[in-house]
Amino acid sequence: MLVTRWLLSRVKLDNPLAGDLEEQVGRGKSTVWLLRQVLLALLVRAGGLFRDRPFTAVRFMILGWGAALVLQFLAIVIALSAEPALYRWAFLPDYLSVRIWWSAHTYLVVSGVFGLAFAGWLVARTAAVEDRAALVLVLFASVLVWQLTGNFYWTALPAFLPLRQGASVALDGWTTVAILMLMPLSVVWGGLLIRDRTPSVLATHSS
Amino acid sequence: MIMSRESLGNFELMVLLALIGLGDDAYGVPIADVLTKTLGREVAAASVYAALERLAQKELVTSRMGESMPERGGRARRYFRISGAGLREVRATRSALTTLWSELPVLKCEPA
Repeated sequence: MLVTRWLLSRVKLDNPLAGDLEEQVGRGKSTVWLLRQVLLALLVRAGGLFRDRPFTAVRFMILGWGAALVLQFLAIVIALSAEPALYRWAFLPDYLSVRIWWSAHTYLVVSGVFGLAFAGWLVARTAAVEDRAALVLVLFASVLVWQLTGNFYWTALPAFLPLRQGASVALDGWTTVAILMLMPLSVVWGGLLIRDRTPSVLATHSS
Repeated sequence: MIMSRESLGNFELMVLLALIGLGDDAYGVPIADVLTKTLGREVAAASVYAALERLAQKELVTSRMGESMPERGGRARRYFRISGAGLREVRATRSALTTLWSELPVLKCEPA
């Protein structure tokens, strides 16, 4: 029941619907059933948003993606400007011993995770309370699709290669893919950081 | 019987029929239960509410809020009832469907 109450308090479904779901869980429905119902409710809500208020929905998608891309751009600018100093610190004078392992890839993944979490937080913060979870879910889905298509080489290519070669590519790439697939979840993490007591600043403008 | 220009969807019609069957005690849970039993597959509560919302916008159903209940986390039930316009729409749909069915030569021969 605690999980139910926590979930329903976070996603802010319509009151009668949330009450129905809590009543059903009280009568013995499982948490998995509840999760499925909540997910379906959010999908129905998101579908309604894009059908009835497409400009609002698209505006929030642009806001989320814009925030993530701006932060990623800033992260790259900082990385490039810090590069000479970093190299001076990282490499010892003989240029053979490396003090740290500087991986641009790791840096971009970490900055991407925080950028996307900020995007999720920003969308949740500015959306109307009843639209919040649905919009975060749509942003999550769009980032997930972007990651899957953007990393097509690692996710799908092995299936088209001969077995040994395909297995090699898959094993090389799946750690990267696992990390990249986790990035969309940071959108949800950022979206969940919003608490009920925080008033929605743009709630009156988005409906 | 003349149907309105915006005819009922299949699911909306089933929701209206469930409402008629349930009478005054119709809220989300029993409506979803009736549809689940009838269709033989689980019906999402959100789909039921979305259909009810559309029907309310067409003024085919009316609703009232009940009292808040502890087993629902302090939330109230929303009871739905079919309106006069809703009843007329159901009858018109039944009439149109019956006419269409009866004009199918193959199905005429089937046992009822």
